[in-house]
Amino acid sequence: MKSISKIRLSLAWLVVGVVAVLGTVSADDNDGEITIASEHADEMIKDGVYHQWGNVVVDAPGFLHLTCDDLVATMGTGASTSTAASTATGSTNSPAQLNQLIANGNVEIQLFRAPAKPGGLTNITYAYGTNATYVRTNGMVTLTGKPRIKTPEATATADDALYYDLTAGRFTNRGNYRVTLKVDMLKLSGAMRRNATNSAATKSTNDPAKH
Amino acid sequence: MAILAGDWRRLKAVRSLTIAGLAFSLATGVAYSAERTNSAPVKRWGLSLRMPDGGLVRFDGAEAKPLSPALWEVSDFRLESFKANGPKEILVESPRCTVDVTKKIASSAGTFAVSQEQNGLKMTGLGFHYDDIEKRLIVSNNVVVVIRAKLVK
Repeated sequence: MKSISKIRLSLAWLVVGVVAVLGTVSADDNDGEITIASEHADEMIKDGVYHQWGNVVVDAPGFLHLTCDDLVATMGTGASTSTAASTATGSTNSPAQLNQLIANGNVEIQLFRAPAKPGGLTNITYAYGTNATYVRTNGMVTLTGKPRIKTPEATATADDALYYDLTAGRFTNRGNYRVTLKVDMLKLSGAMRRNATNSAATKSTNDPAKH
Repeated sequence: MAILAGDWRRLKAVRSLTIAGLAFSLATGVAYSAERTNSAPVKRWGLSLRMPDGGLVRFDGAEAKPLSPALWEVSDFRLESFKANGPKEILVESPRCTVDVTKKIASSAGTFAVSQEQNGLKMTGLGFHYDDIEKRLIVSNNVVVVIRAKLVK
């Protein structure tokens, strides 16, 4: 029973780690250049809807790298609340805002976290699924279609969907989920006894994961 | 037999008329086409058109050759589209493309670049069709879009 509670503690640490990775997204200094490359495109520039398909690669250096078969990005003008002022001054050169992102087919996402110390290693969180969506209005990232998230510490999979609420910093899921922790992670947390096996510890449940 | 002979003569007459008609059509068509393709190119070509919503679209190029009254083949092409209240909305550039000035459509199988100052969007690719009325861009190959954006929040 004691070791189970320590596994829970490790899971909590894992969640804290993933939240810290994704938490970098909501920092104020998140202006940057996003490059979207693909084979084909149909862009409704007036509406800010960019549809690209065929080997789509989205690259936000130092933050995100995403590949998929088909992508629809909806952009809004970041200066929507100050349009009148910017028009009056003739300056409308404000960054766009990513309102929605829908990635379909063989979605692979890499989220980068800068090393905590100078010279340290960059942590990368990988996410896989058939579909991924991000909606700015509710700050929710949804991963469906055999969703899987892999961090340096553990791997999380779900039967149906994995959600991450960027605003609340909370992971939830739909359907069964499974978290596989690496042995080293458990050793570090002191959850394993000296005679523990070298196999990875696994925890799964039918209940939604709320942290 | 007399009737048949008469029909044969009529058929020959109709055939002669048809051949003559075809020859005339062909001759005039070639002449028309020759007149169009021999139209002298215009150096430092430019055109500004006011849109129904008060916006403005400006076409220009180093050289333009008329393919029809509305259709031009333009080298070093630039299209600038302005909103009704003044700011430039879109800039389209292509080394060579075909432009329909009435439909405000530019297209080419070659390279192009589009930029949108308002949000720092830049786009390049190979083979495009741009409709300035719809503000719609279709790209057939090698698309690269760079957006200066706030990622979240």
